[in-house]
Amino acid sequence: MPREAEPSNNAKAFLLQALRENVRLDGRAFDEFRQIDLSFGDEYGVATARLGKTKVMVRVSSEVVKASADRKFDGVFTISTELSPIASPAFEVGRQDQAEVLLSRILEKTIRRSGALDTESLCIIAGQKCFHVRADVHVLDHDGSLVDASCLALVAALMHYRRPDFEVRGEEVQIFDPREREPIKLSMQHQPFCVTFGYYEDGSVMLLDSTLLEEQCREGEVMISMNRFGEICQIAKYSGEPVDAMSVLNCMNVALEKVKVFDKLVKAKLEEDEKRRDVGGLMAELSAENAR
Amino acid sequence: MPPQITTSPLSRPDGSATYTDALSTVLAAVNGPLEVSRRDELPSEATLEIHVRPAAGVGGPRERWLEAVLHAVLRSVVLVHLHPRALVQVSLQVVREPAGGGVGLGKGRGEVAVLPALVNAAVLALVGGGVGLEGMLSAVLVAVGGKGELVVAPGVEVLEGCESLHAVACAAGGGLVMDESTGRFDLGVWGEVVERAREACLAAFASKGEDEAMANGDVEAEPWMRQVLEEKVRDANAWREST
Repeated sequence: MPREAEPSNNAKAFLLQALRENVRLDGRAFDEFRQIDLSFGDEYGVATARLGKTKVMVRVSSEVVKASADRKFDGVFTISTELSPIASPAFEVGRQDQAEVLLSRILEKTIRRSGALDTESLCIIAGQKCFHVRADVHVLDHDGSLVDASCLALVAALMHYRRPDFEVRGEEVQIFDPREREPIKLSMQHQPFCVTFGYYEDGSVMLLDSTLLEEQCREGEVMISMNRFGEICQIAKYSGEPVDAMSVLNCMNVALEKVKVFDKLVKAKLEEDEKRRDVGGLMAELSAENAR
Repeated sequence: MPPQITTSPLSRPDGSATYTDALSTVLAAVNGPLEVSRRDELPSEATLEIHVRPAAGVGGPRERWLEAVLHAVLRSVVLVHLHPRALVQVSLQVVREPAGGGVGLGKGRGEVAVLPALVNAAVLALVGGGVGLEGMLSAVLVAVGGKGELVVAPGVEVLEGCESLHAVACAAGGGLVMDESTGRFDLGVWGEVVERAREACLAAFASKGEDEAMANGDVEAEPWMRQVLEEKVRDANAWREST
């Protein structure tokens, strides 16, 4: 199937009429997110985020590779976003859809280019060996707000992941199995999140966390990524009707509120998960940060 | 322990299922019949498209091989002639693999070990999607240990020390539709393995009467697949009974 089925004219008109009367079809407020659900797998670095029906799973993994010649002191961090027909039959395998390009660009800008992950800490021996951390974003169910959900899952997975510990003796590098030494958390410099605003009626109606139907009817979108301190990583507005600069400023204030909520949620869930893993309270003793 | 199954965990695809056993977790989604691209169109039957996506990284030759095996297996049960010039799309996402993609298990073992989970998940999703099937199908993994003992649906510890591994799928009626093996074994061992696997496969969807007969053997004879599907049908019909 080459593309997503368009909603009917009636469905569109109904949605727009409802918005004019300040009602969303699912009864949410305009700036309200759907139920956010975040869960972690049994392994480190697997996080699943749900926004209503939208479901994204991110898996972070790492391997030891040769460091690139021009960036001797850096490790490698890649994000792979490949949409599959699991999310929607409109996504074809092996062909980049516009949604996929958009998703990977925004994630790249939000997380990689903003320096959220400290790549220097992934270096083992300068110019020779480093960790290659890869994050695979698997979109499992597509019902709008893919970017927001993916970003949330990705940040949560990165914070949850632990890379294997290593030891350098001269030129020799020993990588320890998780059974030998407790793996180490990645060092994150900040946690950026993305908030997408869809706008209607020449920018007079701004919706947060649009469903797929709302996305198909909107005039355009503004995507803002920032961390909980209000530091903006990127603002993207790729197409659609023009928006007023003032309303973009307004969006930023709203986004900051939401980002703070996301940040709190991720931290609370991580703590919960850590408690679940900490059987018998031995985790503190196992930590690789302890003196040997 | 019988495998754990969630039916229809996803909202978009026509049919979906997650399948979790001791070794792996697989999420399957089925869409169909769909419009087929001109290139893949078959004049007299539906095109069956299988995608396997690994847990980490992008698909490579390993995934293409799994797809080729699955294509042959599923084509033997899907009623492809019912939907000529259409597409039935089966997408499988591996969520958890034994020992990180079978790296520590030795060559070829990781692939064979994940096959039964892929087949079972695909079949459950096909049923959930209402795609016509000729009959049921289930798959099982059998490991042959160092002393020649057979272990049906082994855990990771058994996998590490086993002589050979066999992924076997049987259709209702006992027909062998998949047999992928790796390791060292001879024809006698293989014959035993297939017999044991056939019993285990048929037990997965045996009806109550047959079940008792099966329980006499030492195979763990819980009809897990039948239970899951019966429950699904009961849920789907709940509205009918309540009115």
